[in-house]
Amino acid sequence: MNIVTAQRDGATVMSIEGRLDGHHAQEAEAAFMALTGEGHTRFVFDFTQMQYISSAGLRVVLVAAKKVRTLQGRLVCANMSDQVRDVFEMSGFLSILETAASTDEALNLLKA
Amino acid sequence: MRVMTEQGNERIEVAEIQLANRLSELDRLHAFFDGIGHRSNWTDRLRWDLTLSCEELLTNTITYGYPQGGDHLITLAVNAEPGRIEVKLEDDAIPFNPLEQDEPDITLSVEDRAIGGLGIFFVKRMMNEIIYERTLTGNRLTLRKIW
Repeated sequence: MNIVTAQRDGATVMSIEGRLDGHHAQEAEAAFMALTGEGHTRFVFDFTQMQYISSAGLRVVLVAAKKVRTLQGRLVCANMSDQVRDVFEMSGFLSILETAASTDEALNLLKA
Repeated sequence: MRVMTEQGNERIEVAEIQLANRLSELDRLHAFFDGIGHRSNWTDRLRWDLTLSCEELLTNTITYGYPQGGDHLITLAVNAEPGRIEVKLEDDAIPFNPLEQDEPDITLSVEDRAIGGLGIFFVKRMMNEIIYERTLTGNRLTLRKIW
């Protein structure tokens, strides 16, 4: 797993690349928490290069969603592949998280 | 790792891997299923379902199964033939029957959703059959997938 962070239109775009699994979940959670510690509250999780996600990875996304609520921020998950989307759907997360088909669409949602 | 493949009209693959009780071993799990999936012409979806099911069970065992710590090995054996795959996972961890776990409520809001509990739920959704046995030294789970 590799995490690439960028600032765009007043939001933090976190690209999570590779496998977000039981081995890498803690590292991803720590990276997200470090960003909130620096004052970031508006996030796009970009899954374009995500090859795989398990429940350990979903846990990180849920922790992040809970955290941004307490910060009165927002989180949009963008660019899910069909298989990643299926795991989100199976967990019921699709109906409780904000998602977008592209990073641009996610950034537009955050402006609204 | 042991691999045996029979070519012919009926292609059968038997493979086994032993993983240490460390989460970094999940990288080897992925490589193991990438190899079998490639040799057996599995679809990406099938490889994903098998890998994810095993990861969920292994992550549980590695994280909660050895409260005393120490070095342990978990054996994963795959028996794959066209249309049918069987996976056996055997450990020497504390007794744990994942089939007895409560299912998560997947309709709750972000605030109310519990963190965790999804792994076993995924395995039940993706596999056709799951059998739990307590062995003399640990636990054995048999997963069957029909495709």
